[in-house]
Amino acid sequence: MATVNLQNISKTFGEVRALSPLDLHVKEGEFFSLLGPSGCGKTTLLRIISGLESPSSGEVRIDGSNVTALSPQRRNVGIVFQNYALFPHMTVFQNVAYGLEVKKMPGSEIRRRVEDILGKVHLLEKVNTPVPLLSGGEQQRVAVARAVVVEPRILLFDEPLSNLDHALRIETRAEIKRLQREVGITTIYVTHDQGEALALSDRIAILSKGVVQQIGTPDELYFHPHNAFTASFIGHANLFSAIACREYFGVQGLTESELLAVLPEEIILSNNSGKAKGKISNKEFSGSSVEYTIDFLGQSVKAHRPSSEKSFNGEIGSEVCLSLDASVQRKVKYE
Amino acid sequence: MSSASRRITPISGMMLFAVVFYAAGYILFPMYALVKESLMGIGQLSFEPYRQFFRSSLLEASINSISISLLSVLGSAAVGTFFAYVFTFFEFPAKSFFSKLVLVPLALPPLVGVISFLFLVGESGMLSRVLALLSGASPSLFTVNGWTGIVVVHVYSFYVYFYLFVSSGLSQLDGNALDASASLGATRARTILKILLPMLTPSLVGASLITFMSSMASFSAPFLFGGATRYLTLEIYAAKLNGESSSAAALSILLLTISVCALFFLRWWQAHKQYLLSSKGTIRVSAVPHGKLTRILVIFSAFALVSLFALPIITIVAISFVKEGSWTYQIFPTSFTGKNYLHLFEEPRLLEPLLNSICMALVATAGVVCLGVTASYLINRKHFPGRRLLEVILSLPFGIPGTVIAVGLILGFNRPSLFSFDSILIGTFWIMPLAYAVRNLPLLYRSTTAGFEAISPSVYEAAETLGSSQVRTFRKVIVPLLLPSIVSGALLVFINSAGEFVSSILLYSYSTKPISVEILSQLRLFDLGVAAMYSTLLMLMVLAVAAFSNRYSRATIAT
Ligand SMILES: Nc1ncnc2c1ncn2[C@@H]1O[C@H](COP(=O)(O)OP(=O)(O)OP(=O)(O)O)[C@@H](O)[C@H]1O
Ligand SMILES: [Mg+2]
Repeated sequence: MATVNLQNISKTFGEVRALSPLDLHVKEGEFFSLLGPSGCGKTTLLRIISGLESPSSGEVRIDGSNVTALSPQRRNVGIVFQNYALFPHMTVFQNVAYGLEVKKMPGSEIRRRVEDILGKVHLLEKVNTPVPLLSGGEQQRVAVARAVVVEPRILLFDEPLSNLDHALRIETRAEIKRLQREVGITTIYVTHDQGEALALSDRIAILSKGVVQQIGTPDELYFHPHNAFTASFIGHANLFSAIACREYFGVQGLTESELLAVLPEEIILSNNSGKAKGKISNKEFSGSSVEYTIDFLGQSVKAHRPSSEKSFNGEIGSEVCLSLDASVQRKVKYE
Repeated sequence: MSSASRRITPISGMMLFAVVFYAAGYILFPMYALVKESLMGIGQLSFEPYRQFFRSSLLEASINSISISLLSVLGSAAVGTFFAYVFTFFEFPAKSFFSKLVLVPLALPPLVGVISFLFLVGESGMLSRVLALLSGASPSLFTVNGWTGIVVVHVYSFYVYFYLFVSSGLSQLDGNALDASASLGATRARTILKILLPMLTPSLVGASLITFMSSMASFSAPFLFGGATRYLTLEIYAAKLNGESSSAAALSILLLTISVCALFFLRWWQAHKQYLLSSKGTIRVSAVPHGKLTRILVIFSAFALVSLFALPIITIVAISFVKEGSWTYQIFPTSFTGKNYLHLFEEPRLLEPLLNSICMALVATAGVVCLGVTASYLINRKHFPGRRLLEVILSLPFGIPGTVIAVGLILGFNRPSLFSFDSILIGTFWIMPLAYAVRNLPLLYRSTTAGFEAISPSVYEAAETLGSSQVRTFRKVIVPLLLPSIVSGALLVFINSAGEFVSSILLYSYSTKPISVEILSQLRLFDLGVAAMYSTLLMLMVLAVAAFSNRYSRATIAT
C-alpha cells in the first residue's frame, strides 16, 4: 500500500508533446482511473509511473520518496498490459512464479504463494498449462496474478479488458475490483471506456491531448463537470450555447464562454407546441429506456426517456418539442 | 472455393502431367541414378563404395565438414544476432545506410565472396600485409587458410541468415513482455537470458539449420580457401574428376542424407515450434535501456564490423581496374586502367562467358517460372492424390548440395533415357540450364505459394460466381494477383543462376563456359584484373536486379 504523487510531470517524444505538465495525487489503497480518448497520453503516464519511460520534467514520488531516477526493476510496481505480455514459452505457473524467482524466494514458498493467488483468480486447475493454450480471459487473469503475486506497492493496469468481449469484460472487471479490495492495493487503472471507469473507480482523472481536464469522484464528474469535454465524454451531455438557452429554454445568466451541459435523461420531450422544435432522426429501444436522437438547430441532441413513460411517444421523422428540467443549472466552460 | 473448381479438368490434367514428368525425370531419376551407380557401378551389386567411408581420409572429410559447419553456425549466430540486436534496440546516425550494408553478403555470388577474401586475407592478401606492416609481425599471422579460412568465409556469407531471422523475430516480439520482466524486478541480463532468448528460439533454430545446410553444401570456400583441408563436397568433386563414379555417387548419397535430414527437421520444427500468443493491441518494442558506455561500445563495434564487411566489395571493384601484369610484389596495386572493361567489347572471347551465363540463366528462369507457377497452382488449388508428396519432392532440391545435384545429373544423363528424349544431355548446352532450374525451382515455388496463400479464397469464388471459366479465372484473376510474387521469385532465380558455380564446374563444356568458371580460369592464370572485372559485373547484375525488384514491388503496392 502506498501513495503516488506526480509533480509537474511532462513528456515529449521528439516534436510530439504527449503530456503537458501535470500533478496527480493518488491516496493509499485508492482505485484511481486515468480516462481519456485514444492517444491522449494515458499509457505514457502509466509507463512514467512504472519507470519504463522517463519523464521530460517533474518528479514521481511513491510513498513520499522520489523514485524518478529509479529503474523499473527497483520500483516494485506491478503492471498488467493491454496485450497481457505473458511469457509465451512458459506455463501458467512459470509465468506467475517469475517475479518471485527473481526475488530468490525458496521454492516451497513460491509454490505456496503462486497457488494462493491462482486460487483467487480461479485458475488453479490450469497451473501447468502453457499460456498460449489459454483463452483470452484466462490469459488476462494470469497477467493479473503475475503482477499481484509479488506484492507490489502499487498496481498499474493499461486497458486490461479491451481485448475481451462484452460479457467477459463486465465479469472480469468485477473480479478485478474484488481482488483489489481483498488485497487493498493502491491501483491506477487506464481506460478509454467511461462506463468502466465510472463503475470501478474511487476517483478518476480525465485526460485529453495530454492535459488533465478534471479530477474527481465518478459522481462529481458525472453531475458536476467543469468543462465541455468532461461533460460530453463522461455523461454524453448535450451542450447548448448561451443564446440557445435564453431563446429556447428560458435559462438566463450564461456568459459567452459558457455552455449549458444537459444530460440525455434531463431532456423532456412532448408533442406540445413550443419554441424549441426538433425532428426525431433516430430512435432506439434499449430496454429500460428509449434513446432518441433529435435534430435541433443543426445540432444532434440525445434524449433518453424511461420506457415506462407513456406520456410521450414519437416516431422517426415526427416533430417534437424539447424542454429542460427546471433544476438543470450545469454551466461548463467552453472546452 | 467450390469443390467443383478443385477437380482436375483435361487442361489441368495436362499441366499435372508436365509437373509430375519434371519431378520424376529431373529430381527423382538423378537420385535413382546416384543410388544405382553407388551400388551397381562396377557391373554387379557391391557395397565396396560405401566401405570407403571408413577410410581415414573420408572419415576426416566428414568430420571436417561437420565440425566446420558447426563452427560456422556459431560464428554466424554471434555476428548475425549481434547486428539484429543492435539494429533493433539502438538508435544511431546513418542507421538505415548501415542496415543496408549489413545485407551486402546477400548480394555476393558465393564464388565472388570467396575471391574477395582471397584478395584481402589470402596468402598475400592486402589486409594481412597492411596489418603486418602496422604491427611489425609477420604477415602469416594475419592470413587465414584451412579451417579458419573456411569458417571466416562462411561466417561472412551466412551471418545474414541469422540477421534476417532474428530481426524478424525481434520485430514480432512483444516488447511489453520485456517491460513486464523488468517491472517484476529482473535484471537486464536475466530478461535477455530468460525471456528474450527463449522467445527467439524459433528464429535461432531456423537460421542455425539453414546455415548448417549451407555450410555442409559449401564448395567455393573449401575449394579456394581450404588448402589441404578435406571436405565432403571436395571429395565428391575429386572422385568425379578421377573417374571414380561409384565412389562419387556413394559420397553424394552420404551428403544428401545429412542435408535432407536437416531439411526435414527444419520443416518439422517450423511447423511445430511457434508461439502463437495472439497479442492484439499496440505493441511497443521499447528500447531495453542500456548504460551510456555500453551504448557507445556496442555502436562503435557495430560500425567497425559493418565497415569491415563492406571491404571485400570495395576490394573486388578496385582490383577490376588493375592493369594486367602490373601488380606483383607490392602491397597495393600501383597502376589502374579501364582496359579490362574495354577488352570486354573488343575481344569476343572475353564477352562470351558473360553472354553464356545470361543466356543459360534466362532459359533456366523461363523454365522455372512455367513449371513452378503451374505446380504451385495445382498443389494449392486442386485436389489430387499425392499432392503433399509432390510438394515435398519439388522442394527437395532446396536441401540438396549443388555438388550432389550435379553428380546426379551427370550419372542420369550421360546415356540416353526417356527423360532426355533419347539423347545424351551431358556436354550439350541444355545440361547447365537444367541444373540451374532444378536447384532454383524451390525458390520460385515458395514465393508463388506465399502469393497464393495471401489471396483469399473468396476472390476465386467471386470470379466464379461472375461466370468466369477456370482458364479465364487463372489468366485474368490469379496471375495478375500473383505477379509480384512470381516476378520477385524469378529475379532471384535469374541472379542465382547467372552466378552459379558449384554445379557449373562439374557440368560445363568448353563451348558453353559460364562466367563463374571463367573467373576461376582467369584466377589460375593470375589475371586478377579480369577475374575481378567479371566478379564486379556479377555484382552489378545483382544490384540492378535488386533495385528493379524494389522499384517494382513498391510500384505494384502503390496501385
Ligand atoms: N515512443 C514514442 N515515440 C513517439 N511518440 C510516442 C511514443 N509513445 C507514444 N507516443 C505518442 O504520444 C501520444 C500519447 O500516446 P499514448 O500511447 O500514451 O496514448 P494512449 O492514451 O495510451 O492511447 P491509446 O488509448 O490508443 O492506447 C500519442 O500521440 C503517441 O503517438
Ligand atoms: Mg495506451
